[in-house]
Amino acid sequence: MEPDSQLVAQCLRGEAAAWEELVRRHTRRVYNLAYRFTSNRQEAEDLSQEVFLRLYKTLASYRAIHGEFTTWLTSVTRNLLIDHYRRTRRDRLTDSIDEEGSPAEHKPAPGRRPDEAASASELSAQVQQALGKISPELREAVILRDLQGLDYREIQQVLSVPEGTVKSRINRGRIELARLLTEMGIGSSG
Amino acid sequence: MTWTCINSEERLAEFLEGQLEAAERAQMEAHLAECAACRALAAQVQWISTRLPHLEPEIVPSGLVYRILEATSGTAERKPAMSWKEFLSSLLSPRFALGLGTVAATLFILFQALGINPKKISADSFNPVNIYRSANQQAHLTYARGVRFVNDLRVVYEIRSRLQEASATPAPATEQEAPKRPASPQSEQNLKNNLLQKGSSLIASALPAPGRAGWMGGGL
Repeated sequence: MEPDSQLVAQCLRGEAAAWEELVRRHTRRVYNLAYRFTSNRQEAEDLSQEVFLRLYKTLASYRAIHGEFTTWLTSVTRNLLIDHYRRTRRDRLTDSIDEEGSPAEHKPAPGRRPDEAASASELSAQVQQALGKISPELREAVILRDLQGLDYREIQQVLSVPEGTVKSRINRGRIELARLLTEMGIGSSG
Repeated sequence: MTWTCINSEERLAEFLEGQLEAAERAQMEAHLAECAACRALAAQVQWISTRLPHLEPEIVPSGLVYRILEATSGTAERKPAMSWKEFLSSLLSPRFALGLGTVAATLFILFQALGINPKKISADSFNPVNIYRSANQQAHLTYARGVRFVNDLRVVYEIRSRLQEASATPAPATEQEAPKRPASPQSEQNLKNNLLQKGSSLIASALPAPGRAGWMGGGL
């Protein structure tokens, strides 16, 4: 499989197949980041398209000094997400009619131990619900670290904050998430 | 330094990742041994840290890659066919149900207006001549109902106004001469008979005469 930097160079030479490969390779990452941040599939789709549109227009500005292509791509995605969040903050409803998983409390089924593993998709939905309740700053830190798998240095580049701030946000984000999931009866029995 | 719950929270991620200095790690462990709340929190955070990386990623919606390529380079391949599961899930969406409801309501109104009976639909139902005849008949029926409704209103209005006039006319002389004397049953009966006769003549005069041209010329 060709490295991303090579695909970028081919794209800049006008090779459409290289661009298609880049899109196919990274759509899942971009969509997941957008969905985990917005908790809305339609918004995540629209934002994913915006990300790749911006990428397409600014591909020539990517340089290896910017770090890995994925880090640069994540940075573009994150900036668009924050812009979208600020734009829609006033109009945002707390409860969306298209949102899967209402904010209603999730209680464990009777006779079911809290530490029993829920099905994978249930857990994903429950984590998503909890993620939606923590502040955007902490939410993006946890998503980038624990869901997207970036290391502290990469997250520092994406967020443009010191590493200490990155660690602090990840820590506080996890603690808030932990408390919310405990209230929902999910997680370790403690 | 006394290690507090605040210290435990602030340094929890570093503790779980084994990044604390030996002295601080010892203080943290001593605190966790004594504090059930911090112990529970630490266990929950550790659970999250190990589970989240293995959470199932969301499935990319069908056609998103195609739409992205169309919007950017415009060189998308033929859109991949939707699987039957994706098709079924799209049918269960609220938008589809709303659209289906709107279409059903529109068809109902259309059939009513054209006089088509949904239970007896046949090929003849869609013959343009039959559709015209049914629509014409429905229009005439609706018009006739409207005319009757307005006429009914007119009758009621005229009766009420004339009865009000009748009840407002001065009292007969017998009542004025002896106001304190209670009305005799016979004079009361006479009054009722008068009112009934007047009412009958009012109704007869308010009804449209047979063969009258229509109500639009008369007006209310």
